[in-house]
Amino acid sequence: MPEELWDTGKTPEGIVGNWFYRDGSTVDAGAKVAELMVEKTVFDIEAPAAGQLRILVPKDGVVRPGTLIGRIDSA
Amino acid sequence: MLDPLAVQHAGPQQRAVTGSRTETVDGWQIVAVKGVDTARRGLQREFEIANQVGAAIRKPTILIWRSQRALIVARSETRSPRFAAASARLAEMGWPVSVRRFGGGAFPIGPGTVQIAVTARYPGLGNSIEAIYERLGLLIASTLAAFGMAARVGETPSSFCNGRHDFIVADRKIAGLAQHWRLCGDGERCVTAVASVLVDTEVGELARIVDHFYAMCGQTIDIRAEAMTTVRLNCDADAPSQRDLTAEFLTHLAAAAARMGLSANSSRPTMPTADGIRCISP
Repeated sequence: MPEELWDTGKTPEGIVGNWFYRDGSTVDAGAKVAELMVEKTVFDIEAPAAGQLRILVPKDGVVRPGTLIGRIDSA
Repeated sequence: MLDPLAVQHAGPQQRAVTGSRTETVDGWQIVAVKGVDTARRGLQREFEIANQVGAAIRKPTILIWRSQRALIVARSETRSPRFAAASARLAEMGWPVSVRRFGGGAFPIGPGTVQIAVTARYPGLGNSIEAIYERLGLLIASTLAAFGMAARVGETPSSFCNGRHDFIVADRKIAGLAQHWRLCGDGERCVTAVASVLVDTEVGELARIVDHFYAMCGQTIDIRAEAMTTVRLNCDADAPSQRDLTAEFLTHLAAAAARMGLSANSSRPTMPTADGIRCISP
């Protein structure tokens, strides 16, 4: 997730609001795989490449700008 | 494209009576919907505009609209096993429920609340969540200042849809703000920032309906009418009941949007301040 999405001095953290695929699912490049929630803001996260989704931060897990929340492994 | 989330819980009994007026100012389209729309149509319009702005087939847009009575909820609130029954019951009571793709909690809207949706491709509105809240906030603050009201930004415990970037007048919430950062399909992002402003409505009834919704969903959330205020309540001494404050608010809002612009690189007005709250007669 982008490192400058929000000011951590004002808003320390957000959460993973939802995953739209299960861990291990095959996803297409550009597919919306998750959404983050911070300060009444929903931020859509897309798959940067096609492959197998590995979820690193579960739903409702805490995130900060720059947090790696998931990984796409080559299918 | 139809957004199923925006329509699935809307009641069928409401009919919209609207048209719209569009003007272009400083690269922005300002779309003011005339009359009172249904919530499902208003949210659908927001969604379609975001699609068009995201696809770069429409200029950045400020959409201003009003709705018949409805309760707007975030998608997270649909996960309650009692949500379907609660929304059906509220629809029977004349408060159809619509789901939106933004954060925050449940909040009621109606003819006396004004909805604002500002949409631009990133970073047209700003490069961070806070910067975008600030730009939309300046538009609201400028409009409230036209009524002689000084607003500040912050949380109001016990208000519905409470958030740190909401607008407060006289220590009570008068407007709630939220955002959605979505994908455009070309690797870029499109941001919609929205606000719901309490202009001329009965906050006690609004608080009761939100409280009722959460109670039916099995949740205990402390919502109190005294945590909210309206433009009307702050103009009470000077505003006879026949004065149409909603129409005045819409006029001031459209004027502020045309005057200020919202581009991140436009000249930045400062947050208006005032040392008291008073209502300016037209």
